Amino acid sequence: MADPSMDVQRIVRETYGAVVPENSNVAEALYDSRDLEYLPMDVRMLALGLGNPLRYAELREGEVVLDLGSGGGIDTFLAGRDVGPSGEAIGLDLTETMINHASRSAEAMGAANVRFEPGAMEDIPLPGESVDVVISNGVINLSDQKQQVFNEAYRVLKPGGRLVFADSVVNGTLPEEILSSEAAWAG
Amino acid sequence: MAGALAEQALEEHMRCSGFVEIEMLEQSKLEIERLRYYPLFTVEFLNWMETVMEREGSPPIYRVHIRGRKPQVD
Repeated sequence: MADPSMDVQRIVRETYGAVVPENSNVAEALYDSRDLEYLPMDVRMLALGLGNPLRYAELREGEVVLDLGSGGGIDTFLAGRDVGPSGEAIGLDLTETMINHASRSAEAMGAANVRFEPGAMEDIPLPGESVDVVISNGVINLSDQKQQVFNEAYRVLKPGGRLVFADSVVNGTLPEEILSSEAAWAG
Repeated sequence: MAGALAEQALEEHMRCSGFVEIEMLEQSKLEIERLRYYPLFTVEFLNWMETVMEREGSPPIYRVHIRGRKPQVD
C-alpha cells in the first residue's frame, strides 16, 4: 500500500515522461520476430511492458481494443494490426510525452485504425460497453486505486468482452524501505 | 513493483468488479537482473533494491498473465 502522502500518479507521470530510450532490449525479450519486424525502431525502443498480453488476447478482425497505459504504443500497434482495418485499437496513457510519441508513430506508420488518448485508467474517457477487449501490460500495479481500474475496465467492456493483462505480483509483503521508495512505485 | 499485489488479491478485485472465467495463464519469476533492461531504474537503485530484498528475506516478485470475461447478457 502506498504511503497516503505519496502521489503515485505524479510519480508515474514524471518517471515515464522522462524516459530516454536507449535500446530495444525489452521489446526483443518480449515479442517474436513477426511482431518486431512490424514495428519501427522508435516504437520498439519505447517498449516498457512486463509481458505480452496479446499472446492471450485472441484478437479477431473488427474488434475494438483498449490498451491501458499504452506508453510508446507497442501493444496498441500490434493490436491494430491484428484487428484489421474494420477494427480499432485505442491507447490510453497518463503521460503527455508518451501520447505525443505514440501519435507521431501512428502517423508515420500510417496506422489509420490506431489512436491514442490522454487519460487515467481509473477514469477511462470512453462510453460504457464500447470495447471488445481491454489489454494492459505491466501497468495496473502502478495504480494505488486498483479496484477502480478493474471497475472501469468492466464498465467499458461490452457484455462478453474480455480483459487480458500482464502484471507483477508478490505473494507477501515487500520490505517497508521498498514500499516507501518513489522509484519502486514507478516501475 | 511496489504496487504489486498478491495474485489472489488481483483476482478478487476482478471478481468484485464482476469479471468471470478468471484464468491465471502464465507465471514466471521476475529477476532483478531483468529489470536492468528498463530505462526506468538507475543501476544504483536496482543494486539497492536487490540488497534490501536479500537482507529482509523479501518474497520474490512474479510476472503473471491473467484473463477474465465480462458476463454475456442473456
